[in-house]
Amino acid sequence: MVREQMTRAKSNGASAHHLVNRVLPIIVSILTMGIGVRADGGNVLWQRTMGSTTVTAFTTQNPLRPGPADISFLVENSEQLRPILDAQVFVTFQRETGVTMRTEATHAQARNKLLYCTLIDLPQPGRWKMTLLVVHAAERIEFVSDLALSQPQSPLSAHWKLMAFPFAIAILFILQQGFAWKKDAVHR
Amino acid sequence: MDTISDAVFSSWDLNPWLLIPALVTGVLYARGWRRLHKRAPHRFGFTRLTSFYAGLITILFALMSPLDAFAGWLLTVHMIQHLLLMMVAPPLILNGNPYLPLLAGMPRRFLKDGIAPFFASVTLRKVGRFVTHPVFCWTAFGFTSIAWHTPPMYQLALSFATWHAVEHLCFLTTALLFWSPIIQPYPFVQQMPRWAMIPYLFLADFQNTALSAFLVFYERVLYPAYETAPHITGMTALEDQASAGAIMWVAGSIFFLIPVGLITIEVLSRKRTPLLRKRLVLPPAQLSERTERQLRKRRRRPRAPLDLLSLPLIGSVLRWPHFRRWVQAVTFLLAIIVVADGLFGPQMGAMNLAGVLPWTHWRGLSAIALLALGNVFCMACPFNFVRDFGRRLLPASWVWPRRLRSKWIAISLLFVFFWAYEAFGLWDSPRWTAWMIVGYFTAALIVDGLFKGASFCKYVCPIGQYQFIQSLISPVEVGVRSLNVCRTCQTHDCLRGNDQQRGCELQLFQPQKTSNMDCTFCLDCVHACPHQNVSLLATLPGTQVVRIEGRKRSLRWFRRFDGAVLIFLLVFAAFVNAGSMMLSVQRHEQTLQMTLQGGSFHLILLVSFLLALVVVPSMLVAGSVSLAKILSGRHIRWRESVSTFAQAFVPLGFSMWLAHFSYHLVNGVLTAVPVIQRAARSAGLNILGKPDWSLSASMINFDWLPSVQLLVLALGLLLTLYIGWRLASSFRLKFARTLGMAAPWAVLALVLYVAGVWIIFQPMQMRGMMIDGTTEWCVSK
Repeated sequence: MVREQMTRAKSNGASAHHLVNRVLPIIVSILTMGIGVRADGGNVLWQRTMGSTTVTAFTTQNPLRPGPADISFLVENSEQLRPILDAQVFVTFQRETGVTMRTEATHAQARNKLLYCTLIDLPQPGRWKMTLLVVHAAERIEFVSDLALSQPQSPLSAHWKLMAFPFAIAILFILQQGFAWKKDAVHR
Repeated sequence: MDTISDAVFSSWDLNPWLLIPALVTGVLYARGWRRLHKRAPHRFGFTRLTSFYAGLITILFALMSPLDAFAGWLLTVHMIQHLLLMMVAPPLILNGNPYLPLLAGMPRRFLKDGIAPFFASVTLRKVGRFVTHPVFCWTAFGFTSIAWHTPPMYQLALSFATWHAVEHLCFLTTALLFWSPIIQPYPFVQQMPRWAMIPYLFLADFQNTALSAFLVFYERVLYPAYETAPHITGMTALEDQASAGAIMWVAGSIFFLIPVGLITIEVLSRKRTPLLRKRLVLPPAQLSERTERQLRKRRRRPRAPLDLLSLPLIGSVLRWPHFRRWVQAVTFLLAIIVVADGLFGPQMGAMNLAGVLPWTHWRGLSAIALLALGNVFCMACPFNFVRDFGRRLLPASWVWPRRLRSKWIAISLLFVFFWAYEAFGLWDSPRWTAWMIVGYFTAALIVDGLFKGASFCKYVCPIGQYQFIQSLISPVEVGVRSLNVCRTCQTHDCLRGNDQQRGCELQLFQPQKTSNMDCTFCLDCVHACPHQNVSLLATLPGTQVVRIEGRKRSLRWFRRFDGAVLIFLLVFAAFVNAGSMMLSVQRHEQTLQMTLQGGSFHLILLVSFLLALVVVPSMLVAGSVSLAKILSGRHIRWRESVSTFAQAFVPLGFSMWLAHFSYHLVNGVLTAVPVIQRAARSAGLNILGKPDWSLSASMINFDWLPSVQLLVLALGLLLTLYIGWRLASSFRLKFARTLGMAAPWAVLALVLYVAGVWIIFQPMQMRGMMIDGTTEWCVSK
């Protein structure tokens, strides 16, 4: 009995190795599942010109929903249409209920470094008032616009990938086992 | 940013979701290439290696460089990106002969058991042959190219990041297929004569020319997104479109026509060796015998698991004989403080140490510790600390009755605890919590004061049973380093002890120990072993439960029916306990409480718990047993069936506990701060300042938490399904019958998984916090 157990214990290391072989593909699958290419600056929300400044607002989410969102702005000289990179951009989101959120949009948060980006977590759906303050060369220009946030996604549609993941793996595993058993039967 | 060019060229996005898979692919290729290069250096030379990595880098450059950042603004840039993905990266990758190195780079066992069956399948081979036929490759490439350039599809890709990723994936995969018959990476099977590749490429060029000419000469902007995008280069959208078409035309033609020239020379030349495809088959005689021997040797060599006690600092701390005593002293002191505050402090859960520390922090941390380390709670058990002192006063001379040597007492106590937790609202009743801890100390003192060994831990302690079961998927176990040493050992000190050190009080003999079941991580065996052969060994989470076939059936602890019942109770309790927090359940309970007398309410709750934890699980398990019997056509005694398949559910149960407790811990981690401040002030210590109750009243909205909970639950389900399958396979039936045996248990696991997912998304009562009402996940999304 002891010998059998010893043999079992000897295979501990091999079992761990065996599990690595099983777990590794799962981890790789999880990682590759999340591969996503972010939209290129996103969809244009609006474009406004005021004085010598033109601002184009983008968002990667389509449509915008409550939760984390990134909204970016391209600030341009309206005559030459050259991007202005040394401005300061402040954004205020305001809801009728009184909820107000203030943030600064910066190049650091943007992937496209011509843009000023803000990462914000808007909590409620509905209409929000977005006020953009651009400070550049002692000039302060304010853009006011409406921002419509759609209803939040249902948990099912928000997390369908994660929920489908075990089913996909299970089906793949059954297929693999089916082939493996066939192979063994042929060899026998 | 100083200048526009600086801004443009710094617009990189080092996306980990691209980098990590690329890194894994690169490592696999390098591992495989190294092996194959030794055996066939002329086939897997450095040129192949360089070519493969150049292709991989090209893909990363296309998807992470400023090309991707500006592809949405300029069609020209987008076109360059697509050309890199379709014309540059695929030929380079294929020229690296990637198939064999990637396969050889995978872990051997995974290759043999995981991948090989797919390659052996006749059906899949037929599919593979069809998919790699030049006609299919050309059609897929042409169709993808045209389809994604139609305005609705292109707009779709520009508007949604996911569709954009799908577009790139389509381009890359079809391009890999398209270039395969031309590059013919080893061991590609040629399905058409070589000369056929000339019209193949000409036709592709024709299609490319037609598409690019359309872009160049069309007088309207095809893709409206580029009309509204900023024109930072000064080009209009139409000029940009024409420029993109021109690039597609010129570059495309170059990429198609150069191989045409090379293949023409190859076909017309008298040499049999093609220019683009050298003969790659290596005669078996040339295989180095030495390399083969080395490979065989490596295959046989067992891998030693990581020994935690041999680690420099951790090892010496854990080996210190008084380590456990000190840790227990600390937890004992904490328990005394919690009890004192529970009895004499404010009787509101969120304001009392007894309401916050045990229910929010200890539960969450012990679950994480189980996943990350092992049965840490039993190692630091304060109840154990008391009973060791009690033994000096009490005789501990009796032997635990044979009839009671099972888990039934612990199972009953666990059931009572789960019911009492809801019925008396233990999380919100510091006094009850304190009395429970006092009761626990007393029970440990009496049981172990009267009976020999660790009878309390093994047969009575409900927390211990929870820890034992969950630690089956822990990554650390107490085990022997070398079985050869145990073979020569005559004294068996790890079990019997010696003059200086007691042996295992739970009667676990190390060479026979199969898992963490019943192991309290006391490390007595480690200290007792004169050969220093017992240690804390690292295993991968779940290994202990997976390690099934090697065990002789009679030795499996879980073959005992009480063990199976314990597992099922803990599994179903995980879902019931989390489900009890749901707002709808709470409202229902409150209504019951208001309409009924106190006693009746407790009785109804008891009946509900009997239904949820005994009747319904029994019916589901009985149904699974019967169905498994019918579908497999194998007669197995129902007790054996239940006992065998119960252990498969350990990972699923644990994942639900972890998802539940981590939710409380993450949301309420700061609730300990004001409570400690208050307790310190109550004790006359003002150094910690005034309690900041806002920490207890505000909830941070962690958007990632539901995803993590879902992932934990999904991994638990997968491990459960896998173990279930392995168990069914151990009966050695035919495939369909094995599937029939495993299917009912898999369905039961899926039902529990779906219930768990549903619970995660329900509005929850925030216990142990000063939040009135609930947190609704879906509202905040």
